[in-house]
Amino acid sequence: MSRKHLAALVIALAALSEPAVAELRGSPEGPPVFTAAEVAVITRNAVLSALIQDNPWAVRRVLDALAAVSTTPSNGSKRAVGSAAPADATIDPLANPDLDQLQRVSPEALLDLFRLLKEAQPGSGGAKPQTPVKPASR
Amino acid sequence: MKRCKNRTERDEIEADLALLESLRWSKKEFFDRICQESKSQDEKVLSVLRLEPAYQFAEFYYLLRARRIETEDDIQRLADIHNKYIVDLTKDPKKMARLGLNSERLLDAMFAADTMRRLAQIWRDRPGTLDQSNLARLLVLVMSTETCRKVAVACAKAGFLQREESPYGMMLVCSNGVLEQVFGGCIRDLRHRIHKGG
Repeated sequence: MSRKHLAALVIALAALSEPAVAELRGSPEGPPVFTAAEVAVITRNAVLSALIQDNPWAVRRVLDALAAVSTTPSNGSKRAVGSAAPADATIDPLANPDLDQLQRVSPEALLDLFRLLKEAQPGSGGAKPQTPVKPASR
Repeated sequence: MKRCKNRTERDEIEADLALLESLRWSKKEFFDRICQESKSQDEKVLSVLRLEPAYQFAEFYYLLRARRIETEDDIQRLADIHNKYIVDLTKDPKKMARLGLNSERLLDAMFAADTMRRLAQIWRDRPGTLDQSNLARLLVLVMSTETCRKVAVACAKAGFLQREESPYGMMLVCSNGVLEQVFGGCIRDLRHRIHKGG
């Protein structure tokens, strides 16, 4: 695996804002344990296949991070806001379908969704918005 | 004169910092409040509620309510606008790449005739209720189907969503309003905090 791919992976992981659900399986002194499903994920992602030879515990952490975000490759559009992998160090989504979701940024998508709902508002511009609010209790 | 200019710039930076702090505070508040309101204090549930997609999920429900998407016509209009947006997006490969989406995923998220009928019928029979797969379609821009399911499950356990299987095998979800209230409260408190200048 090239250094730039590893760098992209590390940057993507670092950018994940969610608290990692890092339930490490296996003993840190020994090799980590992978389920059959996880082995399949490793096999179909070139970066993980390469990384597991040098650093299986890093692969364990990647899989735990993936599990905390999403596990469906064909629908994985969750992306880490603020992740900024260099353009020349991106992970090839075709070769790494499960890692694709870690490197995308979507403030534009969030704004688009906001505007879609604005456009859908009945009588857009005419109707008075109804704001559901629960004030702070403190 | 220079000192005056510097002071003005300093003031501007201080105001910028205050705004930045407020934005950070608001996000933190949302996650604190949503966890406080959760009927389940199971760490597994709370850990999902603390995920970024939970914020986006709540924002979506808040916008549905705040934008008064209430009737069958309203939800159909939203689905039509969503479909049009997706068609436009598939014609813009650069934007698709920017958003990290591909045409296959986008086409899956479109409302075809049958899914549109289902969307309208469910909303008509039980206003505010969506089939979970249709909810995932509407949220395709911001999260995966699996993430949507995961957040919906956690929100159901937290008592924010009613989530039940229909006799036809669909998973129906309906918010009880808590998510929207918490999200709206955080946005309003943020606005007041910014207006007060700190």
